[in-house]
Amino acid sequence: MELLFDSLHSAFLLFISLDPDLFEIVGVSLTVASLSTLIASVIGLPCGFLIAFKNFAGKRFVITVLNTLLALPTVVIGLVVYSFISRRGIFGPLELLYTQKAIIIGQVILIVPVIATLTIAAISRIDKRYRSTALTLGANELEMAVVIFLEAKYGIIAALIAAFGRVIAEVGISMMLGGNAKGFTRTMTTAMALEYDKGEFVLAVALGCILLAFAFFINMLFHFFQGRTDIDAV
Amino acid sequence: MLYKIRDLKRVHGDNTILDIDALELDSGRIYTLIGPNGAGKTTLLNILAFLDMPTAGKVRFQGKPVRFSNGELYQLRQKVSLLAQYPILFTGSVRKNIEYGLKLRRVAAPARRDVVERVLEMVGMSRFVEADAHKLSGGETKRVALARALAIEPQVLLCDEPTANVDTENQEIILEILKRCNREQNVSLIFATHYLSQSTRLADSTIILQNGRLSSGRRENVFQATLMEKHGGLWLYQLDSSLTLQVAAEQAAQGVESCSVNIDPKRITLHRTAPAGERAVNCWSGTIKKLERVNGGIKMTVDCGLQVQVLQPLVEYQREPRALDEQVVLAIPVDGAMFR
Repeated sequence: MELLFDSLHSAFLLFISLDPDLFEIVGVSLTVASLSTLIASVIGLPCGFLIAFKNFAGKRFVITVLNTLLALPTVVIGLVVYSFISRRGIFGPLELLYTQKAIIIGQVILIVPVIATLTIAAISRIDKRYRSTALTLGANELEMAVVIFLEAKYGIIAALIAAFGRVIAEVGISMMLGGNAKGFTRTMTTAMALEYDKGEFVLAVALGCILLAFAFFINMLFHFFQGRTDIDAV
Repeated sequence: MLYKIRDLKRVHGDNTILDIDALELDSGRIYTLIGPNGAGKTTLLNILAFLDMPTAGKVRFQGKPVRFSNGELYQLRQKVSLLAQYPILFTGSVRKNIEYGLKLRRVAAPARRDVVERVLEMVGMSRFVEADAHKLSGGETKRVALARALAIEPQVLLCDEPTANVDTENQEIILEILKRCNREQNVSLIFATHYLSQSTRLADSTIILQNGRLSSGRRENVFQATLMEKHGGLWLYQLDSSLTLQVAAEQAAQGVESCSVNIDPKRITLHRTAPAGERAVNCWSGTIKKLERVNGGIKMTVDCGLQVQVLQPLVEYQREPRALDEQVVLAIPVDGAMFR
C-alpha cells in the first residue's frame, strides 16, 4: 500500500508540475483516439443507420456479425493489420508501421462495429411513427432520415463516447502497430506498460490516474446522454 | 373527383386487410369512415395518404392515376396530410413541431411565425407555443398535431380516430376545428371514427368498412340505444321503440349509457317462427313492407316498430321466397351490431 500511496503522491506532483513528457503522452493519446473516433464515425454511423433503417435480406446476419466483432481482441486486430502494413505486407511500401496512422487504422477497425451496433440500437428504438409523420408533413426520404437521426441523437452521441472510451483505453493495437516510440506513438496505455516493465511506477500511476479521470468523464457523459435518451423514449 | 378507387386490395401475408371494389370521394366534402377495430380503416387512410401502397388495384387522385413510385408519392403527399390516431410530436418545442412542414416548404421565418400563431390560435393552444412537445397531455398532443397538419394547408386532411382517447371537452374542440377547416378553407376531410353520432353530425357521407370491405349497410339500421343491464357476457340495450337488443360485451360501447348502434343488414336472418338456440337471443317480430332487388340479393324492409333493413343473398331468398305483408321473425346475432 505504501508503494501505491507514494506513487500517487509523486503522480500528483508530476501532474501539477506540468511535466512536458506527461503532457506529450496525453497529447498523442488524445490525438490518436480523436482521429480514430472521427474516422470510425464517418464509416460506422452511416452503416449503422442504413442497417437499422432499411430492410434487406441478411439483415439479421449482418447485425450478428457486427455484434460478434465487438468481441474482437485488440491483439488479433494488431496482428491482422501488421500483416498488411509490415515490410512484407501488401501495404508495406506505404511505411505505415510504427506510426500514428497505423494505430489509427487498427483502432478504426476496433470501433467501427461499436459505433455501428450502438447506432443500430439507437435508431431501432426510435418510434416508427416519426417516419410516417415526417412523410405526411411533406418530407422526402432524406429529410425523413434527418428526422430519425435527430430523434436518435442522444443515443448516437452515446455511441461515439463509448467508442472513444474504447480506443483511449486500449493497449494491444497501440503497442503492436505504434511501437511505443517516445514523442510519436507513445500513448498513455503503452507508456504505462513500459514504465511498469522498467519498475518506474510513478509515471505509470500518474498516467493511470489521468486515464481514469478521462474514463470517469466519458462515463459521466455517457450516462448523461443515456439518461436523456431514456427520458425521450418515455 | 378527389379519389377514385377500383379493385383495391391490401394483403399482409395471408390476410386480406382491404378489399374494395369501387370507392369515389369528392373534393370539399366531409367523409366519415366507420367500422369496428380491424376493419381496415387505418390501412385505407394510409393508402389515401400515400404512406402505404395497395397490393393490387387502381387509385386515381384528382383525376390522375397514382403510380406509387417514391418520387410521385412525394409530390402527392404535399397535398394530403394524415393525423394519426396516436400522433407523435418531434422532440423540441410546439413551435418547432408546427414549423417543420413549413420549413420543408421553404416558408420564410416571418411567415412561419404568423402561421404558427394562427394555427395554435385555431386549436386553442397559443399559450403552449414554447412548451416542450413531449410534456403535453394526450388531448393537447392531438390538438398540436392537428395544428401541425393544418399549418401546411393540405387540400385533403385525413384523420384516424381524431377524438379517440381524448376527453369530451377536447373531442368537441377537435370536431369543431375539423368542421371549420372544411367550411372556411374547403379542405376535404376524411376521418375514421367509431362514433356513429359523429358521423351523423359532421359527415356529408359515411363509408362503412367491415372486414376490409365496404358495407352496403350505409346509413341503414342505425338506431339509438340505451344500456339497460349487463348480464354476464351479454349487455342488454333498449332501442327507440320497445325493442331490446342483446350484444356481446366486447362488441358493446364501453363507458357510455346512450349511444348509436348499427345493425348489419347482412347479419340478420329471417324466420317464420322464433328460432331456438343461439339465434333466439334477439328475435323481433315484424311485417315485410318492402322488397327490392339489389346487387346479388334481395333487400327487405321489415316493420318491427322500427324499420329494419335485411339483406338476403338471392340464392337464399329463392329457397324461401317472401311476400309483402308477410309476418316474419328477425334474428340478430349478438355480434351483429356495431356501436357508436
